[in-house]
Amino acid sequence: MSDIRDEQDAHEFRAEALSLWRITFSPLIWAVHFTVSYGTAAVVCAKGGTGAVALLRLGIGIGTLIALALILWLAWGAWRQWDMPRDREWENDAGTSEDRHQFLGHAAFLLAVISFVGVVYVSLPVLLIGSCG
Amino acid sequence: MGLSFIEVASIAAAVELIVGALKCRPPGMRVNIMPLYAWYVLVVGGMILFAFPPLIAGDFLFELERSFDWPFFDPTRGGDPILWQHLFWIFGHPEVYIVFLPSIAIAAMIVPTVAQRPIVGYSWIVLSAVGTGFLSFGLWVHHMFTTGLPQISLGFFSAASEAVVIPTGIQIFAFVATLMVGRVKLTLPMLWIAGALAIFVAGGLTGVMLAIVPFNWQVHDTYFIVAHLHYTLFGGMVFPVIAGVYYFYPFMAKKLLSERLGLWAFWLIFSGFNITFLPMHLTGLMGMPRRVFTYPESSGWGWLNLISTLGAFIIAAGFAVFLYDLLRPKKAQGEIPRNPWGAGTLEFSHEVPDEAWGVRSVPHVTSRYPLWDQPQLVERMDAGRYYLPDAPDHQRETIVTSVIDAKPVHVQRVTGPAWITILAAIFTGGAFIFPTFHIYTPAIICGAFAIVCIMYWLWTTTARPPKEEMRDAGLGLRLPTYASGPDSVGWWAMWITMLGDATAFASVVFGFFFYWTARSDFPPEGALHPLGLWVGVAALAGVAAWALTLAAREANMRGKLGLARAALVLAPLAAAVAGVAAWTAVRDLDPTSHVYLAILWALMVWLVAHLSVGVLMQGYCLAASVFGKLTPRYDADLRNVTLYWHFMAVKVVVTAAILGLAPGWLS
Repeated sequence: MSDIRDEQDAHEFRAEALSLWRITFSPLIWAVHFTVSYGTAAVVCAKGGTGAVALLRLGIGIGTLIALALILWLAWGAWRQWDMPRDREWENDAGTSEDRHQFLGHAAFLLAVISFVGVVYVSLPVLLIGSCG
Repeated sequence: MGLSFIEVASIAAAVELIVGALKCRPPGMRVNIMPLYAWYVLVVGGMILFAFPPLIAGDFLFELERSFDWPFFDPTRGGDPILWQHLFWIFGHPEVYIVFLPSIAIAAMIVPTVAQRPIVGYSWIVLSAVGTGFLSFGLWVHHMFTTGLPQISLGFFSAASEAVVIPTGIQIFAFVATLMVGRVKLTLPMLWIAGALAIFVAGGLTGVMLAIVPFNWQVHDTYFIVAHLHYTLFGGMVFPVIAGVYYFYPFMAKKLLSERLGLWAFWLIFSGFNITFLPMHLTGLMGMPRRVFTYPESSGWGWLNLISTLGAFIIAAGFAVFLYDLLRPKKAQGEIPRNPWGAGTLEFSHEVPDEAWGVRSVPHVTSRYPLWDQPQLVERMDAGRYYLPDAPDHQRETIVTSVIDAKPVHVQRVTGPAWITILAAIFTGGAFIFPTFHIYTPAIICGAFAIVCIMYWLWTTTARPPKEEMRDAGLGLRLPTYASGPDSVGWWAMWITMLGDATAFASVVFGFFFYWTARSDFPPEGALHPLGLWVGVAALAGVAAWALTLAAREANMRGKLGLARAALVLAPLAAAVAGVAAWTAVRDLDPTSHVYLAILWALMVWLVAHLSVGVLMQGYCLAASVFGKLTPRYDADLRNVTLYWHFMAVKVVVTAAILGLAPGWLS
C-alpha cells in the first residue's frame, strides 16, 4: 500500500473513531420501537374509544416497517464496513486501525441482525392479538 | 432510604466502570482487542445508569409517602401500587442481567485460558453483551403478567423476553466452541464454569417457558419460579463468581487455593444445589405458592420439600468447605508462579511477591492476549521500559487514553489514600440511614457535613493547576498533565452521572403520565392547579441560570475574568429565584389530599433539590476562580459544572411544562 493510501485510510478511520455509539444505533431503534409501541398501546387501551385498537395496530405496523427499513439500512452499511467477503477475515484481532474498523462493522452488523429479530418479535403481538383484552 | 443509598453507590460504580473501560486502557489497546471482561463491565455500567434510577425515583416517591403521607401508592386518594411494581421491575429485570453479565464475563476470561487459545467469536460475544444489555430493558412486565395489563402490552414483553434468549445463548455457544477447538486442561476454575453452564442452561430453558404468558399465569408465585430464579442465579452468578475466586485468588492473595478442598466444595455445592432446587419445579407445578412457611399435609408437597431441605444442608456443607479453604492460613505454601494458569491477559503480569505499585510500567498492547503474543512483555514491564516507569513527584498517576484506539492523551494524577473520603462516606451514610428510622435532624447534619467533606476533597485533590504543563511519560512521549472538557475523565464522569440522573427524573415524569393513563380521576375534578405565573417565572429564571453559567464558561475561556465572575454571582441568584418561584407555584396545594397534587409537589421538590446542587457548583467555581484554582487555561471545574447545567436547563423546561401546561391538556 502506498503512503497516500495509508493517509487516506488513516483519515477515514479517524473520522469514525469519534464514535463507539454507532454500533448501538440498531438496538436503539429496537428500544424506540419497543417504547413507542408499549406507550401508545397503554394510552390507547386506557383512553381510546372503539375502533382505536384497529388504528393502533395499523400505526404500530407502519412503525415496525420503518424501524425494520432503518435497521436494514444500518446493517448494509455495517456489512460493507466489516468487509468480510473481500478478505475472509472473521476475527479482526490485530491492533491495527483496519482491524478495529472492520471489528466495529462486524459488531454493528451482528447487533443489527439481533435488533431486526427483536423488532419482528415485538411486532408479532400486534399481528396476533386483536384487542386490549 | 437504604435502597437509595445502595443505588447511589451503584451509580458511582457505574461511572467508575465506564470511565475505566473507556479512558484508562493501556496505550494501544484498541476496542477490538480489549479483554471481553472490559466489554461486559462497560455494558453493565451502561445498564446500571438506566436501570437503577427508576428505582431511585420509586424510592423517592415511597419515602415521601412514608414520611409525609403523600398518597402515591394509596388507591383511596388516587394513588396506584402498580406504579411501584413498574418502577421496581424496570430496575429489577435489568438488574438480573447486571448481576449475570459481569459473572459470565469471568467465564469469558477463564475459558480461553483453559483452552490455551484465543476465544472463538470475540465479536459474537460483544454482540451478546451489548444485545442482552438492550433487550433486558424490554422484559420487566414479565414479572407483572398477572396484574391485569392489556393483553397486547403483555404480548410485547413476552416477545422481548423470548428475543433476549438469542444473545444470551450465543455467548454460551462461543464458550463451548472455544473449548471444543482448544486443548482443555480441566482446572478448578474451569470445573466451576462447567457447572455454571450446565445449571444456567437449565434455568434459561425454564425462562423460555416462563416468558409465555399463559404458562406464566399458571405458575406465577409458585415454587416453579423459585426453582427458575435459583437455576439462573446459581448458574449465572454464584458458580462463575466462585470460579473467579479460584481463578483470581493467586492475583489477589499471591497464594493458591487447595485443589482437593476445591473438588469437595464443588461436588457438594453442585449436587446439593440440584437436590434442593430440581424438585422445586415439581413442587411448584403441584401448586405450592412462594413465601409460605406452613401448609396442610394433604397437599402432598411434604416429601419434595424434605428432599429440598436435605439438599440445602449439602449446599451449606459445600460452602463451609469453600470458606474454610478461603480463610485458612496459607503461610506454609511457598511462592507461587506469577502466571499459574498460563493466562494470556494482563492481570497475570502481576508481581509475586506484591509490590507497592500496580505495574512497574504501563505496557503498550497490540494483542488480545498480550502475555501469549508479545514476547518479553513482562520482562520489559518489570524493567520499566514502557510508559510511566517512575513517579518523580511521588504521587499516584495513570495514563489516560482515547476511547476507541487508546492513544495516550494525558497523565492523570490519581488521589491516594485519605481520611476525607472515609469521612465523606460516613456522613453520606448517615444522611441516608438516619431517615430510615425517622430520625431527621442528625440526617440533615450528616448531609451538610457530607457536602463539606466532598467539597474539601474535590478542592484539595482534583483538577488543580499542575506544576508543569507537560510530563515525560516514557518511550520518548511527552504528555500534558491537565485536561478539561471531553478530554478529561471528570467531564465523562459528569456526563455519565447526569444520564443516570436524567433517567431518574424521566421516571418521576413517567409516574405523572402513568397516573393519567391508569386513573380516571387524574387530575381530580375541581382540583387546584399550580399558579401559571410563578411556573413561568421559575422557567425563565432557571433558563437564565443556565445561560449565565454558559456565559461564565465562555468569558473565562476568553480571559475575561471579571465578566465570568459576575456571571457566576448572578447565576446562583437566578437559580434561587427559580426554586422559590417553583415552590410558590404549588405552595397552596395540599399534597396529602390526592396523588395529583402529590406528584406536582414531588416534581417541584426534585427540581429544587437539583437547583440547590447546581447553586453549590456555581459557588464552587466562583471561589475557584477567585482563589486561582480555576483559570482560563485550567477550567475543568467550570466545564463540568456547565455540563450539569445543560441537563438542569432541560429539567427546568420539562418540569415547568408539566406544572404549567399539563393540567390544561389533561382536564
